[in-house]
Amino acid sequence: MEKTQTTFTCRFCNADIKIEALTKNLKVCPACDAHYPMSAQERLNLLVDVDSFEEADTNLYSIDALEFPEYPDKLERDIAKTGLRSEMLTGAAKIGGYPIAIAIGDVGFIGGTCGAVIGEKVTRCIEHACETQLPLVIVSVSGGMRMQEGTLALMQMAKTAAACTEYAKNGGFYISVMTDPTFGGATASYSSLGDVIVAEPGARIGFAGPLAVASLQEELPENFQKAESLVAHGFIDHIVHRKDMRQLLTDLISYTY
Amino acid sequence: MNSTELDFERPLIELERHLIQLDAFTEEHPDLDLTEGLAALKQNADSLTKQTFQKLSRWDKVRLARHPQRPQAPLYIDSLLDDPVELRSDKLYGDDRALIGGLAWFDEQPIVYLAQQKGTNLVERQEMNFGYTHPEGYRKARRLMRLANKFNRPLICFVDTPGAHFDLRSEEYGQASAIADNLAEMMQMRVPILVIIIGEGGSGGALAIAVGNRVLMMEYAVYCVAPPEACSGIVWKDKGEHAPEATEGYKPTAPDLLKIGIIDQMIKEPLGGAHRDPEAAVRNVKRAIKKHLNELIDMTEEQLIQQRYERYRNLGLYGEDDNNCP
Ligand SMILES: [Zn+2]
Repeated sequence: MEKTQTTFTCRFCNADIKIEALTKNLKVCPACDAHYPMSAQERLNLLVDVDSFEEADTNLYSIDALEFPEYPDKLERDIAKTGLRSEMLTGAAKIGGYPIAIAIGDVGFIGGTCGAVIGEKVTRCIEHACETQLPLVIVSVSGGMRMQEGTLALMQMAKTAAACTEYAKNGGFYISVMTDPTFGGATASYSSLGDVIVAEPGARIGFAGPLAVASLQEELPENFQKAESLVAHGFIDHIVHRKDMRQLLTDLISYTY
Repeated sequence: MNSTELDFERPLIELERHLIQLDAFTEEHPDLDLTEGLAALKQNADSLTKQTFQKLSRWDKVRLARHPQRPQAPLYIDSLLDDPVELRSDKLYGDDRALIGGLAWFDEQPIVYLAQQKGTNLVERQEMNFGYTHPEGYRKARRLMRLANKFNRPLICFVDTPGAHFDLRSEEYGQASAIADNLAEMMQMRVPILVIIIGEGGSGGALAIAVGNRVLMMEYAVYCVAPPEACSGIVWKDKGEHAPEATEGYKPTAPDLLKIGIIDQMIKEPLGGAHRDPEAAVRNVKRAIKKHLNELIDMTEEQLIQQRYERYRNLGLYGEDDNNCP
């Protein structure tokens, strides 16, 4: 997204768009329907009923447990940049009047990577859904596992998968919403374990990062690692336009309430 | 000089060669008594090895974990398991040679085994995709996990992969989904799961068969969130030049991971690493499997599921504090 004061040029269709028009249109290009990233807060406003959100676990924060070079500086920088201190919004809310548990990722924090805090918050959110027998919605956006937290970050895959398993055993209904981008350990754990998996149009979704794939110099199809390709290959149920997401979630949740 | 030797191994290997020559010389000249000198020299060689290996950096250990002569899963399967019958199908699409498994006996106990392998020569390495596991491999593993569960057999997993494969086909065949499904599958298994990381524990590609009641790790194995070169690329935005710094940073060695509870035991390797004395390595692994399997077999199904759940539930270091929160 190239900004020139009040307008920008869409990197998908090259149309010059007023930023105001983009914001009004849920950050979807009015010319070509390309879905641009949203912050966790914007997405929350989009999906849940007004004033219904009660945030949980706001006091969790990342620490530099392994003394990884420059990690504390990067944490500080991104806390300042995003205004988020715990990297992900989790809590209870209502969608279409139905009470649910919800977790929403934010790509702005260390590339949206998943470390111990996100692992713990996702896990607690699922546990809360389990205890209160609420449907669960997780909106994923992830740059994979966080390198600076090493093997502990990797373990969050097993931890969140464990929570998903418990939740499923107790009859919980989990809707996974994949947004651009969802990669690495998130895709290979909780994001792929939904009873229903939906994605936004054009969302990049995969296990291997683009750099790793590019290193093999294979010729790649145009929709490679796009939501559209994952639907075609049988790993996603639906591609849903941002403006229709809340209605679809409401419809889905209504089946199990 | 053998091109597979690591730089810090060279002086030790040189010294060893001299010793062998000297041994031969004394055999040819029984009239000369060099016993004392030889014994002293041997002791010197051992203490030099010890000194060298005490000072190994974490990056040195990555290189040992990837050593081309390092014993691989087939050696452990052949030496530790009786009458193994390999089961090659994933009942879906194909047979991945990077991840094998089947039925076998360990110490008169019927078990199911899973093992990742990289190959020992070029033909094998190509056949086994250098150890990069495909979705078919993970789905074969899931099928065998279910078999273990059905027949109430402990599952023993030998982990050794640089990572899950990352080509176009693996992505289109659902690599992420295959790994996620295995994590969920292992979490609900009613039987003991014993994991031994014998070489490289590469990221989600390793974890997909490594959710265990016990996770053991060889002294010079590594278990990382991503290969050091990839970590270097992500954090330092380079082509892997900072791999040694990345390794020092994210601390993927056995002593590091033992300290934070990611593994339950470090299995000692023979002096100079498993490849210098594979038989000794096999003996140590056998002893460790025996000990842990004996403990796990006494647990009930509920205890096994609960213990495994809590093991992973509690992993993760973070701050939680209303006042000190940034
Ligand atoms: Zn556009």
